[in-house]
Amino acid sequence: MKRKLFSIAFVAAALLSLPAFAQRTTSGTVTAASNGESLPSVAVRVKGTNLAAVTNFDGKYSISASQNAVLIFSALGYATQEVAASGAVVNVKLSESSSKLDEVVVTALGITRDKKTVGYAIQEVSGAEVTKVKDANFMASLSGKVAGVTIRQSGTMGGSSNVVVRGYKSLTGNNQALFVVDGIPISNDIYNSGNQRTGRGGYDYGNAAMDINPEDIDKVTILKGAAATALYGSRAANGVVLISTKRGSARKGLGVTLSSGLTVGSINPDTFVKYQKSYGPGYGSYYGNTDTINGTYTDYRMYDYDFNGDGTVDMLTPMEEDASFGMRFDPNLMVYTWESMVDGQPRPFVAGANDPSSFWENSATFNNNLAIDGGSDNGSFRLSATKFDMKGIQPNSSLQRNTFNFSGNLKASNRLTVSTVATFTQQKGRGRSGTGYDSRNVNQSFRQWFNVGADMAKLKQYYDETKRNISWNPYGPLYANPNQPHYFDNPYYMVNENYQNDQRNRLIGNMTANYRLNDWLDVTARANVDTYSDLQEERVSVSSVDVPEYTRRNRNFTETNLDLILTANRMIGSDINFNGNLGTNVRRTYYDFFGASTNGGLVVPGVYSLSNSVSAPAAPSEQNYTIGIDGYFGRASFLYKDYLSLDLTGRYDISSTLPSANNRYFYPSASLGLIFSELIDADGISFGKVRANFASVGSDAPAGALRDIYVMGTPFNGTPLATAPSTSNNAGLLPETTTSYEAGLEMQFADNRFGFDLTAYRAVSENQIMPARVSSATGTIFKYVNAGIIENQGVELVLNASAIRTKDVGLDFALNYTRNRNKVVELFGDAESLQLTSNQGGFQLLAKTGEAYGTIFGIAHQRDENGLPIVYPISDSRGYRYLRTTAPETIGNINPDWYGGLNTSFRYKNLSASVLLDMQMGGSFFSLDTWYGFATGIYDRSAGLNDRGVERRELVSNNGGVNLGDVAVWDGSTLDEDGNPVTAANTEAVYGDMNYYGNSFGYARNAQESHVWDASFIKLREVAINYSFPMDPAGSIKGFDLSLVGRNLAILWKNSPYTDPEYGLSAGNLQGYQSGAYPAVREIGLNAKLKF
Amino acid sequence: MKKFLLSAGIACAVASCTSDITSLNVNPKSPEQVPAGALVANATITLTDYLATLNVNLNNFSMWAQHITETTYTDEANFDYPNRDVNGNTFDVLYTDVLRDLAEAEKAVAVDINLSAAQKEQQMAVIDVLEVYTYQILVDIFGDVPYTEALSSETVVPAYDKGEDIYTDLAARLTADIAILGGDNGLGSTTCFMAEIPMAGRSLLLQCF
Repeated sequence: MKRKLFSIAFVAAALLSLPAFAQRTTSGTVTAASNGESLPSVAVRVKGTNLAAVTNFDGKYSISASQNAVLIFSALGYATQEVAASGAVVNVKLSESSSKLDEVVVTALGITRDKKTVGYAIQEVSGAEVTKVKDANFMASLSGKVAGVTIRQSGTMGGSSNVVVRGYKSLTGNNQALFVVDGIPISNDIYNSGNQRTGRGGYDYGNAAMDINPEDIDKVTILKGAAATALYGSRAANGVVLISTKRGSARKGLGVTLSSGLTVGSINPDTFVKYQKSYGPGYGSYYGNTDTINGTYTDYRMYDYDFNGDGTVDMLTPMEEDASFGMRFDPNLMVYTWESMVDGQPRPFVAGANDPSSFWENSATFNNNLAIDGGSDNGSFRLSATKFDMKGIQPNSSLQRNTFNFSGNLKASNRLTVSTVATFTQQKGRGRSGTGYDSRNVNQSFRQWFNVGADMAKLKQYYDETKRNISWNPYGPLYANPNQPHYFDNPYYMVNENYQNDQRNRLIGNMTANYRLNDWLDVTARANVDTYSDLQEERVSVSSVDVPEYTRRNRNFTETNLDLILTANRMIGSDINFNGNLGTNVRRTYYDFFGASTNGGLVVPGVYSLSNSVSAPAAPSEQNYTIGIDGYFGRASFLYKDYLSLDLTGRYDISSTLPSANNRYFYPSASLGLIFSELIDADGISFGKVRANFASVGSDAPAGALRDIYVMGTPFNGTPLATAPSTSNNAGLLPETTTSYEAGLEMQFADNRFGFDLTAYRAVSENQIMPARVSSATGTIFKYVNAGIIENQGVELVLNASAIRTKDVGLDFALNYTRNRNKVVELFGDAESLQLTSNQGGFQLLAKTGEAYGTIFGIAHQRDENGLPIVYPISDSRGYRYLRTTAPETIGNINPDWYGGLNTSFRYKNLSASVLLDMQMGGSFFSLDTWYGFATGIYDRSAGLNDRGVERRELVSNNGGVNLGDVAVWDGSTLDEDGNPVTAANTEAVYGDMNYYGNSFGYARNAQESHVWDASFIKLREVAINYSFPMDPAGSIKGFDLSLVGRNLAILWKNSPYTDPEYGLSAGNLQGYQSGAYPAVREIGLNAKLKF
Repeated sequence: MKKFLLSAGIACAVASCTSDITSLNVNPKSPEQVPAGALVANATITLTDYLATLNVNLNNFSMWAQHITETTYTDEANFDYPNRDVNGNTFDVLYTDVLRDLAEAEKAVAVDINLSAAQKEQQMAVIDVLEVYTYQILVDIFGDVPYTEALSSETVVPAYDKGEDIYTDLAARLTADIAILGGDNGLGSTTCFMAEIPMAGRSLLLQCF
């Protein structure tokens, strides 16, 4: 039925093509009014039709127009002119203008429109902004530049970027924006495993959109609200990042651009541990048979053991321990340490000369790009090759990416234009940083479990000389296996032997044919493909602490989109311009996964193959799904006299992932814009526009959510095993919907010297397809249901101001500010919370009704009626301890109060400079690093003098300990009639113990609340200086630009110690948790660009 | 005319791609029906793993009875559990991994066309004994647990039954099973310890009184 309807519509359209008026060719030259120079690349359009042409390098154009046609001439930086096509030759002079009225933006489906006709919030970032910084993930360059979009890195080399537009809308589904390149929606899938995202170990392999090469980007447009994205279908509910790549243009000869850059980086010590250097290994007073060895008082923190067999007892450090609450260092004492296991010699008892800060190397990134473009009146092309080579801060880490990009278009005949874009990317990673609570993450030991007596230089030396796993943490001579590492490997051994490698080959491309049916109707047929295959290999070598293993994963992904679109552009009457599309989109996504691991260890060391497994490998895991969506869409835009615009869109989707009775959904949108500055006559106002829109977007289910299945396990001694999975599917799922409203005001004053764009929005997402947590007594843990309502509302503000604007000097400011308020309105049934994850350390992330999505839940301090934390005495020697709640409660939330950026740019003749500040206020995260690290005594705050001038690690009864500040003191037993502790605010200082691992601050005795830190920050994100050497226009070198760029140079302000508050484990919904976080890297780069 | 034919032709070609789209949503890698034996084996292994495990997130009874203890990290041996949801994990394992698979196995046996009625009865009895054992463990640990409303798709919050009532019902079920067991159960001698189930059933019955 639908088929027939569509064909009928087509026939009607074709028949409606009215006979045109007498056509003739009009041509002429376009010059600049100021100096008479001819202007190339000026767009010439016939008003009310689809006919268009572009002036060539001599400023000449030629277009076919009817006798009473009106020609519109527009170019960037010049005021648009409308001229009647009065004769065969029409010459035009364009005057310069910085009016915003004539800006052209790219919108959904690659449709280019005048910004003035757009009724929704849209923001653009130029390609130059995106290529300033040579980062492995181009999205990082957008952070702080776009209102309404939060872009956060996970912090590892090649790691994923979390891109969320206007808040989290889906409780358990995908909240990342959709990436579209030249009209092709591309996969931005993040395949990081569940374990990796919840901190249980694994590598962050990045998000697939990272493959986009910034060198080929012309501009990035962010479409934020549902009205902007409704034409894209379901995935666009989360906003769209629309990328347009560079194209060739008509020119004389070939243009060659060569760009080469080197960036070096080193860690920012503010984001890494500051170690105490006073105390050796151990957990407290647990070692040895005596507290005095050879006359020295050890407080049971040192073993008494005759290491060298000479009959006298020696001092042996507890090297098998991974904490630093040991005996105080004393260079006059000769003791036996982990190094003695290598050479048998005692050494002075001192801190390691090089602490783990020296483990991080300088990173180096080379980025080289060669682009050739050319064109004539009939067509143009661009060919580009880029080589990106990065060596990370972790030893033995590298990321290489080669990208080849071709785009070309040809006017095959008077009516037919064909074009193609193809990008082939080849990426190889090696030695990516391990994440989470896993031995392959060096930060697990550096930040949580460490012996500060270990010298990194020695560890490196021992590994380099022997290639063996000589660790700072061997069992020691008191155990049966003295040289075997107890908990941790030698970190240099670890990164060199237990590394991962991965590679991905990807092809993104399309072929388009555009046929002009008549003056006002075009038909476009387009075939898009995004396909990649990748391989990941991970290994743990023989003689590591962990069981040796080899894992490999293969993935194949292909998505094809076939589009057929009619484009109409016609005048209705003399005042109304109608512009519209009618089209269909057929999308098929195919995904195939295969993963297998060895089992029980490796037989032959150094051979990483599934056949080298000690026990038979478990059954490989396979996954395979196909998704299909057929969509029909239409858009009608009406522009009345240049200042009033109305946009209507509608899309109808049929999805394969929903039950056939309910797999169709329709979603409309409407937007209205009024440029009121055209109607009123205010001197100061150069532009004023008000916009409003409404949209509804539908969304489908993930693949395979309808029918229940079983999971086969690895046979046990020959007996097959099968189990019912813990998520039960639902054959009655309905589509999800997000409804949004938006209103905006845009104004520019004093000839665009300053202005703002203010948007307010509200989006409600309902009927979410989510796995609801049910009582496990039902036999499943999760059940797929339609439930849940989430609301996002907020304000976005973009401000621009030009303090100085002359021919030679410019000083501009651009500010963006976003405030989003998210609320989980309803969950499933009466449920008040949905647990998103429960991670190590007693951390839970919940979606709680009445709160913003992403509540951090854990044990808190009990407080008195004034909010003071209650403390009680443990003993005279150990002082006071915090009273913890018995049940977990809300202790934080991942959502910030607001975030934004301030960009200052300065221009003097050929020199330009810019400074970008990126900031976030509010939001919090839990750190497993301080949770464990404060108990193992590795941080500097666990040692040194307290406020009474006594060493903190002394017992409280000896005046040691840490002042607990303003607290409510409870005697530990007296309760009131309700059973609550009877407390009194302290009048004199109260001290908590810092003497051993069970101190009041670490995981052993403290509440999770103390390790939830404020995620606010103000970062000096980018500083760039660019100089364009003045070149002789007649010479062979047409341009030479040199730029110096600094990135992540400093965190000007933050409220969280020892780390970068932005970092997490992986992009996705599970934020607010740091475990073995990586230090931030400051980078400085030099880039040269030559144009021939 | 040529134009019209061309565009209409393309339209029809494209539109015909929309054939039965729901058929794409089949998962080719996971079965919708499995042999009952595989489910029972998995339930048995999971149950015995639970009873024998030293994983502090699941089973700390040996430590509480002081049969074993911890060394460096002594939180659990000192009954300190703010960081671990041992109750929840135990509940999850016993209901969703053990009892659920046994319930699914019963469904699979009921529709198995290769078994005679007598054989089905035998197999159901074996599964029932295992279910009784699991419930007995649950009641011993928690006291009151969901029993009559458990494992149904009717409610997502099954009501809790009293421990004594559950025990009485378990004893009745066991007595019935012991009476049935002993005949040909169609499994041959290949399935693990099936010969011992009648004796295990009788020992269990002793406990339930």
